[in-house]
Amino acid sequence: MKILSLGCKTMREGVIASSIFFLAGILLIVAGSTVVPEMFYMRHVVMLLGLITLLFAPIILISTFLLSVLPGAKEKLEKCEH
Amino acid sequence: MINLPVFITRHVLIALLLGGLAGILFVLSLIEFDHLTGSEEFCTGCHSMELVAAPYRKSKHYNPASGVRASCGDCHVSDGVLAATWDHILGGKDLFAQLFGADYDDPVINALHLPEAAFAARRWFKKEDSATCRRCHTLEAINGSRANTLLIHQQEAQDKSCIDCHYNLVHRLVPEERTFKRDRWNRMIEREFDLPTGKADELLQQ
Ligand code: HEC
Ligand code: HEC
Ligand code: HEC
Repeated sequence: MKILSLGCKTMREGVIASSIFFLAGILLIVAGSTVVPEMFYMRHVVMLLGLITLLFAPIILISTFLLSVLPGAKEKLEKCEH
Repeated sequence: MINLPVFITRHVLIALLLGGLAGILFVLSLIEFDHLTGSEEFCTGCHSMELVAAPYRKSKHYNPASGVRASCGDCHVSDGVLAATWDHILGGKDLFAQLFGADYDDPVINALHLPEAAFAARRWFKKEDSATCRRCHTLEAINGSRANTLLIHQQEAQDKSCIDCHYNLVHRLVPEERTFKRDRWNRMIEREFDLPTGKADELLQQ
């Protein structure tokens, strides 16, 4: 499993992906509660999507963290540590 | 002088600050989300929920003397961010049924499926030990308008949950699950909507 061996790149990708999900989730919730029209249950769908997206943010971040403390990951991450 | 941990660098400080702020924003978003989606306006956004809300609008919980109105979320969504968010995730299943399931917006279909929904709701209240009712009602303080109401709640009700005795509270009357007869319910709905006998079973099959 390549994705399980975390390098500097995948770690950064994880953090960026988490932030994107975070912002997208909040945007969807705000949109769902304000601008989305009351049509075909769009409001409810958008709000639910927003919630799920928002919940993914910490999940991605925590998994990235867990992968970074996995044995073996330390050497590869040495290069991007400060 | 104590030795301060050396791993605290400027980058760690920045990460802590950003992470902390994001964490606060995350929790605030969840609270705001639960607030928005527990409102009567949001719940009755689907026509099927407008149908179950009609009897509620005539109930004492909608029009109490005191004006303390219980809205959908007050009874149907648990207290606390985590529990409320969990309830809303589970509620996504209902949205799925609304979108891809039977046509619950049709009054007949809605009425035919209502008993199962009511039983499920009662089971939920039972499982939660009617926790949402206790947000507003204090068991020991229910004086009531009749002589023995206080006594009933202080003694008989001790090892029971509100929903055991107070079902059929604000929605259409549905018999208790043990005595519920599907056949009688279907005939009643057929009479109510002027449908030929047997039509209800046919509709349920679909
Ligand atoms: C005072 C508390 C209370 C309020 C407010 C309330 N409900 Fe209920 N609801 C119940 C209870 C209790 C049941 C269980 C069924 C029964 O015994 O009536 C239930 C059942 C339901 C059901 C299952 C079908 C049925 O009719 O039994 C739906 C759907 C429902 N509620 C939706 C709503 C919606 C939408 C609102 C807001 C418009 C709302 N409820 C407001 C207490 C409440
Ligand atoms: C938002 C607060 C709130 C919640 C939540 C709530 N109630 Fe009430 N309830 C009230 C108010 C206010 C009244 C009206 C009191 C009055 O008029 O004297 C009332 C009245 C009642 C009554 C007497 C009137 C009637 O309709 O028979 C019963 C029984 C009752 N509630 C049971 C429940 C149960 C069971 C639940 C949980 C499913 C519940 N309540 C949830 C606020 C609430
Ligand atoms: C053992 C069954 C039982 C349980 C459990 C029970 N009640 Fe009651 N409750 C009754 C009875 C019986 C009455 C009286 C109804 C009447 O006299 O019309 C009543 C009346 C009430 C009233 C109306 C008082 C009035 O006269 O205006 C409220 C409000 C109420 N209950 C709330 C609750 C709440 C909230 C709970 C859960 C914490 C609860 N009850 C649990 C049996 C029960």
